[in-house]
This record gives sequence, structure tokens and C-alpha cells, in this order.
Amino acid sequence: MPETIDSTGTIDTAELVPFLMPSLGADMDEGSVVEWLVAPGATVHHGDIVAVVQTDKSDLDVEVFDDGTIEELVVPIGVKVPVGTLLARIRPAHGSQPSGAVAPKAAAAPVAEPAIEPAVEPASEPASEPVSEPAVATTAAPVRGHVAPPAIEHGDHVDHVFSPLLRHLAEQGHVDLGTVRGTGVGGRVTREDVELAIAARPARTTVRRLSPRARRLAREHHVDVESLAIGTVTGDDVLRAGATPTAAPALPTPTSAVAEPPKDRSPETPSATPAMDPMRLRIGRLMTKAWQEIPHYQVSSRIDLQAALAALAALNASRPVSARVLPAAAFARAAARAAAQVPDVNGHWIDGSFVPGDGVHLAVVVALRTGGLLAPVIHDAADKDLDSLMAEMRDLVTRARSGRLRTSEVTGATITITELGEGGVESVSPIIHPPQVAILGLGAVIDQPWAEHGMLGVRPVVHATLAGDHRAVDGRSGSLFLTRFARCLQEDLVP
Amino acid sequence: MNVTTAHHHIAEALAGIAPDVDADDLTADLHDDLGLDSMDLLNLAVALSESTGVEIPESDFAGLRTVDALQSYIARRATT
Repeated sequence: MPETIDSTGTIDTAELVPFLMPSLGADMDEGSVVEWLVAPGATVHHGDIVAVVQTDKSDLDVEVFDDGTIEELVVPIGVKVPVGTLLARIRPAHGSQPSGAVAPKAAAAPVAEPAIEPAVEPASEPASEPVSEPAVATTAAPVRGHVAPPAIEHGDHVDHVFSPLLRHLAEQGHVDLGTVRGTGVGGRVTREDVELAIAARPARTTVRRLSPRARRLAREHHVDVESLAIGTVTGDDVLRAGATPTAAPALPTPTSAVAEPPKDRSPETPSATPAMDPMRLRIGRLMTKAWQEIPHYQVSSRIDLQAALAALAALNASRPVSARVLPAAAFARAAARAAAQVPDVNGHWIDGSFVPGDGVHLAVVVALRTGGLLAPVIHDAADKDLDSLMAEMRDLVTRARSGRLRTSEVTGATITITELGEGGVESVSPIIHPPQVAILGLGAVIDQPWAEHGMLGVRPVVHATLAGDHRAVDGRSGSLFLTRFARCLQEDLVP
Repeated sequence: MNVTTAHHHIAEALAGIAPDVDADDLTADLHDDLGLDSMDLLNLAVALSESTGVEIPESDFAGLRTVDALQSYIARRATT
């Protein structure tokens, strides 16, 4: 099939802005585009999502930072390339200042930011020594233009660039675009081709819906998902296939997303030599470094939530279910406001000194059902009201678990909050995510005896622990943070 | 609404929230056994209110810990 990807040499590349494989953390070396959401000729604006990139951690929606027109898609789908590789060229909109044309430091900013932003849970890792952290930013995010051409390994489907319309049609019609024969100009697949393919679709389609766990297990166990049943593929299906490589079950006609393959709930059969999950490796590396390099201190206090929870319940009672506010949002808002009031805990430890955050960008640790963690970031969290925070948290948590996050949503955190109360634990002693200097850990809200004004009563209580990087911030600030956190919880909710 | 239809809506909602959860496991505790957290449960309540029209008050929702309890509740409350 013909191509949009070969460079003809007629393009005046001097004027074009390179769009590079972003770094989503200092230990991310490579990634692959699993989907292009734009085709050459498409107009893009700053912040538009143009590609889906697969990393060890997860799939991420990648945004552009320039206004212009997509001139050329350089890297085909499915090809693993190093961070900093030229993915596409963008012709800047007339009169717009391409980000690539400004000073190198600023030009690299959009991609460099993640390197110093370990909000991306496992993805970000500090350099082996604190002094070398700035070097990480430069290596992880090469200055635009100074990139080696990718070593392209042509795999299946590398030649296809499909418009969102075609992808939507194909998805609705359960056809694999890669198998559709193109009759358009240069062999391009047209809408008509897709419609014909849908009409001609055999009873057995190749559509599969993979749960994130299934995708991870397939990678770990080297199971080719193409060999699996169609319809919804679960982790159990993958494990079964991994245990019996010959089994390629063909299901009847699971065209409905709801139709799940039958599952047995027997214990999963582990494969003989399970590979180490990349996310596990990253978490391990990041946390080991954090634990070895950061002199943690921890301060904690118990906070009476009776008034705050009663106020929240009253608020929710008058609202439709979709507008309800969870305690998690109240905790996030109080943490963000407290961080704004105690700026010592909000920022980064870079190159041997503390760099205060340019706002409170709160990472919220999300445990994935498939194992592992992500820490999406609520930017400028201290400036958002409770409802906005709740809506944003719900969106981020939901997409972290079942959809995709954008690159800007996993970078830039200045402080982190982790709530393990869902699991029932009473308190958490969290580990800081470098280069941040503090993390707030919350345990479960538990009814406990509570003495006040000489009286003993039972109150819902949360155990809050702040871990601080003692190089950057002292226990006094940590203690002040917790005091403010408790006060903000009250102020926000209790009239 | 009969229980089978309610179950169908629950299974559909769960497939979007926690694809690995088996909606046919009627008696497993959604939180303790199936690992849904408060955000998942809220998403479940929202999805069910959209698909069935049944708004589950927060006070009731806390007591609906299993698929079985949830489908009976919805079947009882749904007007269609």
C-alpha cells in the first residue's frame, strides 16, 4: 500500500516543526505509536491529541504543542522508537510562533517537563545522583531537531493512517481497518471501502476488546492476542492461552460488548516463567531510589471528620448521583489548599536545592485493578472548587483505569496524595515520589474513641501522614501542613 | 423491571468499570471481594441511574454490597 510516510524530499523541512516521541519520565527510553489520530493535511492546535503512544506503563494520548498542519507522519504505527525520535512534522500555522523556533530550553519544555515530573508514578525516576538530575532532563528530552532518524522496523499495518471517521466506522462495524482493501487515491482506504467491508463482514470478526489486565498479561506471557477469542478478552483468557499455547478458542458470535466469554473462577494458572511486569520494575526502581536517597521524615495526626462528613452527606443528599462528592475530593482539595499555604512542601528537589512549585499540581495515586499504580495530576488544584475537583478526579481516575490519560495529565505534579483507606488500613507511611519533596498518605476513615472537652465519644477519624524530604523541608513545615489540612477540610465543608 | 433485566444493566455497567469482574458472581461483596473502590462504586451508581432511571440514594447505596442486592433493589425501584 502507498504511503504517507515516506519522505519525498520535496518538503521544505526547514520550516517544519518536529513532533517528537515525548519522554514521560526519566526512565522511559522508548515508546510506540499505536494509533495516529490525524492524517497528513489535518489542522492541529496546541493541546490537540494527535497520537496514542504505548509505553511500558500504559497507553497515553499525546498532545501537540504547536498550531499548524500535519505535513508528514514519519513513524508508522506499531514501531518502537526511542524517546526524542521524530514522529511527525508539522507545518506551523501562518504567523504562529512554532515552539521549535524559540530558545532551546523553552522549546524542549513540553517534552522535558515530564522528565522532572515523577508524578507519573513509576515512569519517573530521578537520576542516580541528585546532582545529575538536570542532565536527565536533557537526555530524556533532546532538543528538537537533534534526533537520529528512527530505526524503522516495518511490522504489520505500518502503512495505514486512518481518519477518526474511518476508525469510528470500522469500530462500529467490527472490521479491522488493516484488512480493508483501499480503492481510493494511491490505494487509500475510503469510507466506501469500510462500509463494503462491514457489509461483507464474515460471522467471525477480528474485533477484540482487551481489558487492561488482559493486555498486560498478554505482554507478560507473550501471548499473541490475535490468537485469542474474539469479543471481550479477559485476563483469564490470556492466562489460559498462555498455559495452553495451542488453544485458540473460537467463540460463537460475541458482537456485543456486553457478551463476555464464559469465565471460570478457578484460580488462575500461572505460566511457568512469568516475565516481570514492566510497571512493577518501574515502581521498584523509583521507590528504591526514593528510599535510598531521600531522608524521609514522617509526621502524622488523627483528624476528626464528624462535622465534615456530616456536611458532605447533607450536600450529597440533595444531589443526583452524578453530582455527588466523595470524601476523596474533599481530601484532595484540603491537601491542595494546605500545600498552597505551606509552600515548603510543594515543589521539587532538583540539583541539590528546593525549587518551589509554580502552583499546586496534585498527583492522586490510583491503584489499577490490573496491579500497579498511576498518578494522574490535577493541575492548579488549590484554585479549584470542590465540584470541579470531584469531576476532574472522577474523570482522571476512571480514565487511568479503563481509558487513557493525556501526557499533560501525568506530568507536572508538585505534591502527591495517596489514599489507602479503601483497603481498610488505618494509616499509611508513604514514600515520596522524587523529585517531589512531600507526599500525604491517608488511611481509612474509622470510627474511633475521641476525647474532646473532657468527654469521650466516638467519631469518624482519618489518620493522615505527611512524609517529607528532610533535605528540602523540616518537620515543622510538615506538621504545619497537617494542621492546615485539617483546618481546610473543616472550612470547605462545614458552614 | 425484572431481575434479569436489572442484572443485564449491572453487568453492562460493570463491564465498563471493572472488566475483570464477573457480574454473575451474585453474592461477592463489590468492595471487599471484587475490589471496587468508592470511585468505582459511584461510577456504577451513575451508570445504573442512566441506564435504569433508578437513582440510588447514598444512604441506600451503602447497604447494597452485592450484585444480588443491587439487582433486586433496581428491579423493585425501576418504573419500567
